[in-house]
Amino acid sequence: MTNLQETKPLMHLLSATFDSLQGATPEQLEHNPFLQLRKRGLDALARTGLPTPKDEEWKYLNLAPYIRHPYQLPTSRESLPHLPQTLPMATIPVVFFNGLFQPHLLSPARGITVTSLAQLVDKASHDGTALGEQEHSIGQLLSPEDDPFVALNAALLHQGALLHITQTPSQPIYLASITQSGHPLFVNLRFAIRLSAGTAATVILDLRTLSKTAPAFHNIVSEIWLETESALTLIFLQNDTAQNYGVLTTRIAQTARSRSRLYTITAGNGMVRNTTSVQLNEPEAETVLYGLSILRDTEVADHHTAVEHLAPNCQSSELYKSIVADQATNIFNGKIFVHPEAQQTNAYQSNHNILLSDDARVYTKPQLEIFADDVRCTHGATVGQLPQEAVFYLQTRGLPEPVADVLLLHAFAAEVYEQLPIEPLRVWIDQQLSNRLFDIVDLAADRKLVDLQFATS
Amino acid sequence: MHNEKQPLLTIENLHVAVDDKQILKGVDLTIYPGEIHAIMGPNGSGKSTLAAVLAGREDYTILQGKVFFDGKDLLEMSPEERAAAGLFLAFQYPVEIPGVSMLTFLRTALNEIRKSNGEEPIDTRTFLQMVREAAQLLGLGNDFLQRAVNVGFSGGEKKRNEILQMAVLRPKLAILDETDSGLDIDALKIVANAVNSLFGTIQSYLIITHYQRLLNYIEPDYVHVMYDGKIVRSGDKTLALELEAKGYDWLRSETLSSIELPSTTT
Ligand SMILES: Nc1ncnc2c1ncn2[C@@H]1O[C@H](COP(=O)(O)OP(=O)(O)O)[C@@H](O)[C@H]1O
Ligand SMILES: [Mg+2]
Repeated sequence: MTNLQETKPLMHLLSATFDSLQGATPEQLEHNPFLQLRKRGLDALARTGLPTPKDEEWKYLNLAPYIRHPYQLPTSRESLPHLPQTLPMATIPVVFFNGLFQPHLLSPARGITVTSLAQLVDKASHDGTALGEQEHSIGQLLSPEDDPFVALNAALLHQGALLHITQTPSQPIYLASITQSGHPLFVNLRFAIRLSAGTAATVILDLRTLSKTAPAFHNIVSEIWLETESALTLIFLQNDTAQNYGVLTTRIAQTARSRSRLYTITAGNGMVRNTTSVQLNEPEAETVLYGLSILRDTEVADHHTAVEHLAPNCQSSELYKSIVADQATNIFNGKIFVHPEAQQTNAYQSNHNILLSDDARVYTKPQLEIFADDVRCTHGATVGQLPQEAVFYLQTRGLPEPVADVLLLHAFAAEVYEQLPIEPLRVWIDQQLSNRLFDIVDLAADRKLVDLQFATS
Repeated sequence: MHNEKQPLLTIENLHVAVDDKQILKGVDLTIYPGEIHAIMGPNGSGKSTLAAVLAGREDYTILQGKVFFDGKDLLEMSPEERAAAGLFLAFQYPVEIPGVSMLTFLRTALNEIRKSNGEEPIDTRTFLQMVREAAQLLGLGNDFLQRAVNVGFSGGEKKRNEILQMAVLRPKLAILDETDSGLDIDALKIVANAVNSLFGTIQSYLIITHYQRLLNYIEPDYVHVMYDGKIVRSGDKTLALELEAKGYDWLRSETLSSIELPSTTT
């Protein structure tokens, strides 16, 4: 392998890609867009390698401890017999187990077409069948040349799914990567999601391990198109276990009057990097990005967001919060670009952080580039501790200090998800996060508050 | 009249400093069950400091002195233990708790206190009835209970909210720190009426006020005057009227020239 050194972390995963490209004829390469994408991925990686803290966009996240494991790509044909009952409601399950699609868990649902990417890729390499429009869309929003993890994802392109929502589904779509593996596993998934005009859908992207396992590293790239007046709620659940790592690169491209709403809940996975960008390409498109990190031990969450206002009369708003304990680290980098044609833009961003220990770290950086003049744009960032005045006030009303702490932390956190539209999911998230807060302030489970409820419900 | 009873609160020669600055310079005060005491005094004389020390705020250094509450060494107790033992402070400046509704707050507080006293959590119906009655007593609507604690409350609402909490938590001793300031006359009457109607269930009050106004509605058994970290005078309710008539300047000149000055150790 020319410039790719197999001895560098993760690079050994690429040998199969390299071999298949070596074996491909120029005709095959010309007719197979997946092969082309793999090649571009490989070439881009050969040029840049994986990011290090020397790269501005990866400054505070040192990947070395997470990528050093002897990861293997999925090999087992073992399937998951049934969907684990993680979530408290019925869903349309699009599940990957140990990196492989589990079509038997999916039952046909009205208004949504699910296509296995692996099937398409295999088909294309065997008989070179002409591909439909949507298949061609893979790689249209996120280029391997733009980001090393997109490059890696392209180089390993195989597993994934194309979701086409043509009518509003009655249940949320549960896009889950579930692992249970005795050896370190590298899960490379690619998603293409398209919402047809006027439809609305909720997609939950969950990283989950079934039992204590070897490390699992997810590299997930999602390209999402929202057609006119469609509405997407996208929920990232990153509240699994310490050996579950993820780099999630997501781009949402929006047309006129479409709405996107993203919730990122990071509270348990050892390392998560979310590189999330939204392009508001046509007038009156709206996006809301909510993010909450509740971190402990040595957990690291890195949220890089970029909102691009490319058309007039669009709105974006971002609320990211973190509670950081022990030696954990939260990183927030929020870019807002307002292009010259994006007049009458409303763009809001805020990032609030509570540090619970001297060793906890928070890095926050807003980056605003505004090239239109009729723009309302506000941003604010704070880093602080629990307000001692409020803790004392609560104590004088009989609340022991840890209970007061939990009450305040919970209220701080709940602002991020209290608008989450699916009630059972919101309650479940609230319980998961409350339990974590009890742990963090060292409050025994039997001391649970009677009614840590949403102020609004 | 009260010699048979045990005092509810005893403060003996209390000296307190904050950041090396001495604020309380030898306070003595004894409150028996069934008594209403008032502390008056100019701004900066140490009234709120005394209240905060009694409630258990940590920023203060106790240089000297003892405090007993209901027979227990108060200074050894955490703020929440003091609350559970029946001590309540209505804050001069109530604190905003964004995102925590009044209902959640009151219920958590009540149940934590009940738990400390070995009681079961209150059932929802009884609780709701109780807080609604309390809200009504303070002239506050039920929607008030849905709001986040003190967030966006007017000055008067914040003060009434303190008394609402007192009505729900039913302490033995309630210390009201300038609850009257910022209240218009109607609100003042409502608050005074609530305080009076709870007297009995609440055994004793310590009412801190800058003005005599509130004492027209809540009649104290004793009035104390605090000046420069000491109680320089004690008397019955007529002392309040005297202060009102003559102003604190009178006190300043009186005190400074008077041999009534309690001796200090510094
Ligand atoms: N936390 C504090 N830090 C520094 N000085 C304080 C603090 N609290 C009170 N003081 C000072 O102590 C004195 C008494 O204040 P306070 O007890 O609020 O008086 P009052 O309530 O009688 O107006 C004032 O000089 C005030 O500035
Ligand atoms: Mg005061």
